[in-house]
Amino acid sequence: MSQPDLAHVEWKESRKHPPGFRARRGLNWFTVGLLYAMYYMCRYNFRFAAPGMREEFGFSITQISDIWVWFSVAYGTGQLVNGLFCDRIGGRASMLLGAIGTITVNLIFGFGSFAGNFATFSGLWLMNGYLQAAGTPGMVKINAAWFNREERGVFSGIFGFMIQSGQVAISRLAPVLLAGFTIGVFVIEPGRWRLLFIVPPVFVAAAAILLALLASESPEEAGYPGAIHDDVDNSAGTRVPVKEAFKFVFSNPLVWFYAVAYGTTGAVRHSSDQLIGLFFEDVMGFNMRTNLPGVAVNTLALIPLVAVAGSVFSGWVSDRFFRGHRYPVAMALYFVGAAVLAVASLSLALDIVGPTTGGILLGCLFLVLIAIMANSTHSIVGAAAPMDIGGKKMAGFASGVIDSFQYYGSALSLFITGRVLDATKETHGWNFWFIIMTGFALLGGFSMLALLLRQKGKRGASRVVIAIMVTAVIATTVIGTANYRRIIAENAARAAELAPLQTPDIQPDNAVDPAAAPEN
Amino acid sequence: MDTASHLVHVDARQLKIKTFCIWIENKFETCVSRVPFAIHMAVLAAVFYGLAQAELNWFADSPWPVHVILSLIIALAAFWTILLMVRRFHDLGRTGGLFWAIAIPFWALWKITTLFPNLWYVWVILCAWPIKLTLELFFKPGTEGLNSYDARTTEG
Repeated sequence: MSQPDLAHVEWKESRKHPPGFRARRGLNWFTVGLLYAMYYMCRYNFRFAAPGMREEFGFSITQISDIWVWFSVAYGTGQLVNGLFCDRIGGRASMLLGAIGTITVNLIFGFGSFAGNFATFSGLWLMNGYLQAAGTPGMVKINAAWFNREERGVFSGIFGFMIQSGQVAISRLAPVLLAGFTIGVFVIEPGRWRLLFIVPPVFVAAAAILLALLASESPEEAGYPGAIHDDVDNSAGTRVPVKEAFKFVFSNPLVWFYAVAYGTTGAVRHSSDQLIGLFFEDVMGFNMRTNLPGVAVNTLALIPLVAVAGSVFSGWVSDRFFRGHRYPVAMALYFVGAAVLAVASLSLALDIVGPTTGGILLGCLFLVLIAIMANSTHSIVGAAAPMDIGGKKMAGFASGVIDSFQYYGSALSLFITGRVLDATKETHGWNFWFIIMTGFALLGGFSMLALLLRQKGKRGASRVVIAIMVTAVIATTVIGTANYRRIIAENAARAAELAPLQTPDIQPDNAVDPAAAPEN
Repeated sequence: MDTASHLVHVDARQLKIKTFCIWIENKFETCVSRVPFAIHMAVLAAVFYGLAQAELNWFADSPWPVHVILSLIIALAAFWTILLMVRRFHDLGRTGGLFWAIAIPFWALWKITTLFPNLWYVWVILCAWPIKLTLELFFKPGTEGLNSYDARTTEG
């Protein structure tokens, strides 16, 4: 039997379940997905608050990026730590604890930020990052127990829909909150970005109650013993000692290939997600603080929806044609994404993207295509692959390790992007935003190529690809750092040259210093 | 070691949820032929139209609980529509999952035409297959005798 035939037979077999199982799994899946979607409302609220925070506190792009950098570092580290604990305490408990935490921190951010400064915001968002990191391992662990390997791709894609619906929800809610409204005698003025941290926690609380009442850790606990076959460890239960999970996951080479690739997914995904508001303001000329234009609102709402379509499709392809192997599909997505980003960068350099009708539509199209690539790999590499590697018992930590890299990648990307954009915005606009993302997407593609070669038994070729990747990263870092320092020095020199020239405009020759004027 | 060889405690609430899930799944498993399907769809179309008119003309300025009740009725009608479409696909010997092949393109079409009215040709590309499927639901006769979906119900 050929591989496609075998894949088709396994794919069909994996779909036979006892009566009521699919509906029960759907319900379980819905409650878990809903809570995770609500987690997103308490995370993506930040990007809508960023323009308002910039206006009120005068933050630079670097500072706004750095707040997200702290979130990402904490989130990544939280994934590692919480992933281990999740395999010990169970996915449901992990998700509920994370929900309580993120509700608390968001409310403090909303109510306590009147006396805030950069350090306060960074600290609070860092805490939010750690607490939100309890969600993914919990979600992945629960679903690993409920799906066969050949079902996980599609369901990770559909799960992406649940996740992204949180992003859609905040994309719809934020403009309403920012536009101002009236409830009875209470009048909320436009631009009150603090509400973005007060309202979403209510939704998280409601979803957490649903999860506590309806979700079940595994099919066995829901009355369906033996309904799912776990390729990794099919014995009963879903929990393992911390040491066992640590040893199993850390010694698995697959984890590290996926982790590097997922790091690049995070670099692209979070850079585009978190800086899109500022991109709209600076490049498209939109008002993103009080009165968001329809095209911006619709693009922000459309991005997750088309991204989900891409996630479902790529998951189905990996299930149906590659017997549940994710790396061939992920590799294609990374390379196509890199090509789109390169074209976007070129269009921006040629001023084709900008505040014209065609320029706005093209810019929005690029953002949509980038989202498809980033979110498709997010689903199949971040959700399906850890389930395949860790099974129902160790999916939590496998997901934790892989997902932590997504956020380290995000932190690195935003750390670089914020600084490079601040240094080059005057001369190159936002062009380096796309260029940096292109580099990360290429790295992801080569990482999956190395895994593909390794799995085909071509270890030598795989090592060559890894060597090329490492060399490219080192060379880019050295050359990039040298150029960055040169640009900073040039900017400082230019500012020093311009300073004396600007003085006469501010104080004309005939101006009288009031302090020096004689009193009558 | 196999999962089935171990007994895992299942609490009373989980058993109630399981019973409910079997009941709801069986609702989807059966088949419906062309004529009853068409009659039900005509009734549902009238219900949707009536609800839309009522919301627009009578309840536009009503307090929010009225809108919540209307939304619940719409959700029930939508559920009934999905149920009928899945049953009809089963009657044709095809998977009920094809419901999504109709729903998603039409929904995407609605979003795209709202955002970009000039892109009318997307309508033709996006909805060719869904329209064919919709026509089959109304006009194509079901399979002769029991098909695999009926067998699944009798097994359940």
